[in-house]
Amino acid sequence: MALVEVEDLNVWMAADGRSVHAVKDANLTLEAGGQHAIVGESGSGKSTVLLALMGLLPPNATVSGKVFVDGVDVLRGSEAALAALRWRTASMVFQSSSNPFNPVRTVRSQIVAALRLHGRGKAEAERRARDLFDMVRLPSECLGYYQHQLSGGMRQRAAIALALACQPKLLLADEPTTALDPIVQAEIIGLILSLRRELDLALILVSHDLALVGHLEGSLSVMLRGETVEQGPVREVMAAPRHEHLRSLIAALPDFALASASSEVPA
Amino acid sequence: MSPVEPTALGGLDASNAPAWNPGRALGPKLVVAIVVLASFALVALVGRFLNLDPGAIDVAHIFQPPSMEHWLGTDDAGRDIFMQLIIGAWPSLVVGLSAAAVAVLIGGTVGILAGYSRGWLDLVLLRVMDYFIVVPALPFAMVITAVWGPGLGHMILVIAILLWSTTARVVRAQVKSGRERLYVIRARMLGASHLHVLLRHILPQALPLIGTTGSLAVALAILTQAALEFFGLAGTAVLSWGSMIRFAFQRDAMLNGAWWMVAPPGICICIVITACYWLAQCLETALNPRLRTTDLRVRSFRVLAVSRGER
Amino acid sequence: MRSLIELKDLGVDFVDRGALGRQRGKVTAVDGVSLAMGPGEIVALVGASGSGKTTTVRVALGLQEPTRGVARFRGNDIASFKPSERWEMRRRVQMIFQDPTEALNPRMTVEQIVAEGLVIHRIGHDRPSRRAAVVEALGFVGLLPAEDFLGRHPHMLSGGQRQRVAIAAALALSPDLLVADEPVSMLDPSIRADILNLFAKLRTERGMSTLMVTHDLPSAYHLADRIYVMNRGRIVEEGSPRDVLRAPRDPYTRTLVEAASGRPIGVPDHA
Repeated sequence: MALVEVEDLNVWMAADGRSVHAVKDANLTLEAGGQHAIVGESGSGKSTVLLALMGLLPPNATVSGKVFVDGVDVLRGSEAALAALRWRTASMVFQSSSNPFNPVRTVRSQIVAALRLHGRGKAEAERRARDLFDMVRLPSECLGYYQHQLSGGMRQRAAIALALACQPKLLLADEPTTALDPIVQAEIIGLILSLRRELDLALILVSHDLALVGHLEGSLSVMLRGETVEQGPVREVMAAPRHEHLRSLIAALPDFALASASSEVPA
Repeated sequence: MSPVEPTALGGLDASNAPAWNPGRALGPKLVVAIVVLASFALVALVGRFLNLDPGAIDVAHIFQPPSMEHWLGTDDAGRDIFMQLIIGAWPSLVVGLSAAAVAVLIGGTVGILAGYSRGWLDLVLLRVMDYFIVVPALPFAMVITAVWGPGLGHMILVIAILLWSTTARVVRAQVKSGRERLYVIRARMLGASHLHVLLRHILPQALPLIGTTGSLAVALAILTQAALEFFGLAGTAVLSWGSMIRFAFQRDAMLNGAWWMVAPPGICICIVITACYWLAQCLETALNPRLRTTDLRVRSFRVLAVSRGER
Repeated sequence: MRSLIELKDLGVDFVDRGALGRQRGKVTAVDGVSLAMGPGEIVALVGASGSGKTTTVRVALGLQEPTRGVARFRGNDIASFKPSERWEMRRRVQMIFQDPTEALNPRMTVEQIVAEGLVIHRIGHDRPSRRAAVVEALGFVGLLPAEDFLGRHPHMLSGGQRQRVAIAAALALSPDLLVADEPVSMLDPSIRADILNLFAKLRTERGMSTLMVTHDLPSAYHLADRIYVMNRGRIVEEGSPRDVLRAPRDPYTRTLVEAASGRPIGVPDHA
């Protein structure tokens, strides 16, 4: 069985008396160590798919279909199974601007708390926290900072450190670079990709930035209003878009971006 | 008209939800609260404007339990309790309402002033609020009564003085955050005067909050009044629920087993306070567009049963 | 050509003073910046956070006093403006913010929002005359039929529509200059072009200039007549979009262009 198996996933959201079909018939298979990107705009359902993978859909959601992560039935499995899954098998990184950390506690305390929650001793947790910060190339004194003392890029690195704390097999990244400066964006993506190689992680990356995604390996799906309109290996999908939506997105990429995209794509 | 686009959290988040969200608020709680309060208001008006009489002193029928003749029994002087309850409704409610109104007026004004100003005024008012919050209610009331003498009017003032600072703090917090909103900054950049900002942007946000704290203030005022009357700080001139309870204890109702002297006014107070509180809760739900946070430990979304081949 | 904004050798220092008023530290946010804009121009000010672009813009808006150098609006030194001139400037220079949702009061209707500037500056004596101006502005930004939008609240609008309302509110005052702070960064990529084109339309049809602050190079490339690139308080590159982005001379600009192409930094290449 593949690491991630999503079969005919449908999600409806109830809001304001109406029901919105947020995700229509989504399918995805990802092997261990594989990489997949989901591209779409707000309202396309891409973030909802990630939440479904972690079993974190809100109370006003209704789902059908199957979602299996590392053999665990996320939609119908027991709470215990899901709790074991979260952070130990699969973890998530959100947008930097979403302030993922508790503002009144230091970053260190939160990473250590997460580690202790998953069974590490205090001393071990402290050591691991320092190792994690080395891994994301943050100076260890930043461990003692509060969230607001970190810049957007640093906060995101810290969030990645937190996500990798329990050595998961799968990393879900929901718009990890949105709202960051372009150079910082490129650095964060670079960090995520190199960590992926180092730790042999599977990665599902969600973004609205096509220029970013066009440089990635693995597979790609494009979502529009809940529907998956394109899916396949990145290079194939980008080279021969079938749907008007993707065509117009590619056309909107500025010349100087295209010039580099067609050249060296990492194998 | 373009629909609200769904986001990962289901379409409405704090940023784009409507300011008035009656959906979950219009439930049975609100209906019950309004019905209860309206009924008591009606009873109070009846008691005030229809010259009711609890009956002359009838020594032969003291401490009578509830019966067909006297629905809630009689007191230590043979007077009908039920009548007294109706007559006592008006003072109990009016004092509470007036005191709350005064408290909210003072508190709202001070809160807005403190929240909007950035410098020393805010600090000074904050200290004043803090002082009044810690003033102990009963000793303060005793002192005031000793100095001014008892009376309904004085009681309204005393209760208002005790309650205004809670409203003020809440309003101050709201105004403080409201002042930093981008649309306020934009208006100031356009050259809007402070008055314009207050009237157009700050006040509309603060008023609903004042309504909510106002409902709570009414509840607290009624309770405080009952307490003050129970301790005899309101004087004996006026018959109200609180003084009924006081007379009951003073005149050994419990020793005579006359629970019907103590329970009815106490229960009425409880019911009215609860209704006020529910009203405040419903108002708050309606005004607060934030979604509930999901409890991550329990799966809260619904899963449809899937049978293969069915779509 | 009478200039609109002229910044000459601008310097802004932020001084950290201790409790006793002694200088504890000094941060030079802007160092020797010179920039000029005339009517009917779109200029992009590009730089990362911390580059000093926000401070530079604040000086141009008259919100920040420069430590060195001079800032002129329509030829006159902002620092020596009389209150009446400052008041004029508040109408002639309008700001478009990054977050269209936060910039609109959720309790106000679209009509009230667009008309607010008119009310503040006492343009239009009564509601009907102001309404006409509102309808005209809404029409210009493409919110048609305008009457349908008048009574709506912001939560009934999409992100792009909200930003259009913000732009309508600005142009209702017939300003000379719009200062747009990352106007499309919070909007979906597919609608960014439409919003940016509004600025172009304002330039062509109304002669309105726009100073666009952004770190998004594709936006600047599409829209601007000129680009200034800022790094660490200084202007490191200026010129036409083609020159700056196709053949950047400054290493910082080069890195910025690389990053805009989407290529990740720091990924080890495969052998």
